Amino acid sequence: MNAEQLQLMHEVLDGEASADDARALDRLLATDPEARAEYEELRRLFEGLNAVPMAVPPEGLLAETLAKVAPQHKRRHRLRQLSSGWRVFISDSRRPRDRPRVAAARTQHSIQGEHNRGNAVMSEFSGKQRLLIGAGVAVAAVVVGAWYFDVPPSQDMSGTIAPANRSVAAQPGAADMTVASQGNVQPVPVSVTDDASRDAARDASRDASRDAARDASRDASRDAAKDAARDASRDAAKDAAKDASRDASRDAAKDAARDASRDAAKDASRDASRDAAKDAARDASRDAAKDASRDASGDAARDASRDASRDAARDASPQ
Amino acid sequence: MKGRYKGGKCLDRVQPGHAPEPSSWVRSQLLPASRVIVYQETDWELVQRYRGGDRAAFAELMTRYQRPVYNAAFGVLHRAEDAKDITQDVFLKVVDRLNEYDPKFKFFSWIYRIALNESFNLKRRNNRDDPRDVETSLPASEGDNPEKQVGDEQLSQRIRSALMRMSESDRTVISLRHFSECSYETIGQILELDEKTVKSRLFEARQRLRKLLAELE
Repeated sequence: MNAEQLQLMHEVLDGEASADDARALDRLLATDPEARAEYEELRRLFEGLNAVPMAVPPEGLLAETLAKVAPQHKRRHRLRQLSSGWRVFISDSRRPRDRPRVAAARTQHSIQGEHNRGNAVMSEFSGKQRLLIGAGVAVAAVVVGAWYFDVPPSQDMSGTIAPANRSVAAQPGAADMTVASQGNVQPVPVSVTDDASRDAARDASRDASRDAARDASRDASRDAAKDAARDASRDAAKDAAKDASRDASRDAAKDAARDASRDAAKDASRDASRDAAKDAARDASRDAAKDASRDASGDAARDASRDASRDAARDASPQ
Repeated sequence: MKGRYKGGKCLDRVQPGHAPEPSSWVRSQLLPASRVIVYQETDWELVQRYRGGDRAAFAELMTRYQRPVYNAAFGVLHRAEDAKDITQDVFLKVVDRLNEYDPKFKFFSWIYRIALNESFNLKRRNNRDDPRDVETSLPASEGDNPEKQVGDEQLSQRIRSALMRMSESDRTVISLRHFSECSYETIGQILELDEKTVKSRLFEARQRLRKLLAELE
């Protein structure tokens, strides 16, 4: 028995040999008693090795380790939350909404990339990312400012710059004045100043409401956009993972079934042809034996009869 | 692909039983191995869940792998206390480096490799000669009858003694194959060797083990 055959035994006992190799070993064991003895000895060694018990970790190791892991977990999760707003904002603004798998993969890539860069809060963003974020904030501020101050003006304007006269109202003249001694003193309405105050109040109120409404609307849309982006990203990631898992399981099951049926068919076919060959050989030899026996007995009978007749004839004939 | 896992072992290959007859080999490839537990979630799914903030996912990973990690460390250091410390260090490192894990490889390969590296590092640092805990926390083997059980335990004891005399490289490759039940492919990933080299190293290590066992008789 050579080293190659010995190695084949190891592979078969490890469950790593191909079907052809296993059959080759079958044939060897069927014909070689020395190989059979060697195989038996190896089999006992493998059984002994596989029966060696594994050491058991001490009680409480799991809980103790998990307790040590907890602070690290909290820190990591907090960092992820700190960076996730930016990440979702950036990735969401880049991708079309109808490609959730790609987006999920990109988000995952982003998570991995960022975590590879360290644990400190600021190191969650690289220098390039920080630059991009700063530029983004600056651009947003410029756009909001331009909109707020209506720059450039939304319509053409022309005219002369003149002092504003909103607070200038008609002043009391001589006709409005009477001498007190005349005894018909009437209270003079001071509607001029009332109008100015009312206008100012109305303007202020309108401006305030408009500002408040604008701020509220901007905040609400920003929050809504952020929430929507986060939800979309989470759902997309979940869907992608689910799809990938389902596809993988289905493919694996299909492959396993195909391989199993192919192997089974091959084995069945081999067994059937072996049996058929065996049967055919047995029948052939039985028939041949029968024919031979029949022929032999026929020949023998014929010879005996011929000899008997010849002897009888010889005996009957006169000497 | 769903991960296959049996309490603390690296079951990424078809379980052939302890030592199948060659004639039943093809059948063993087709039949599901009864010892294998197929978990609902793969290691990678658990890693993703943990990254998403789910601590329970990490507890599940630890439950799966604390025993092989502990055994890997114990196999190198032979001291229960050191093996325990290494197991803790390995899982803390896993938390720190989880983003470095490449799902192309098996999670077990990655974590086992960390365990081996940590164990070798500690061994180099300590370099002590105090007695080894050869018999620490080994469960009794499960036998059908007491006589067989005694026989099995004696054989296990002889094998453990023989393994202690072997080189670290031989012991590691045998432990990975027979105690952690890793395939040639996974052993290759852990030790960074190609499958052909794994096959020949295992073959040579077991041939040496046979000689040692014969000497111990």
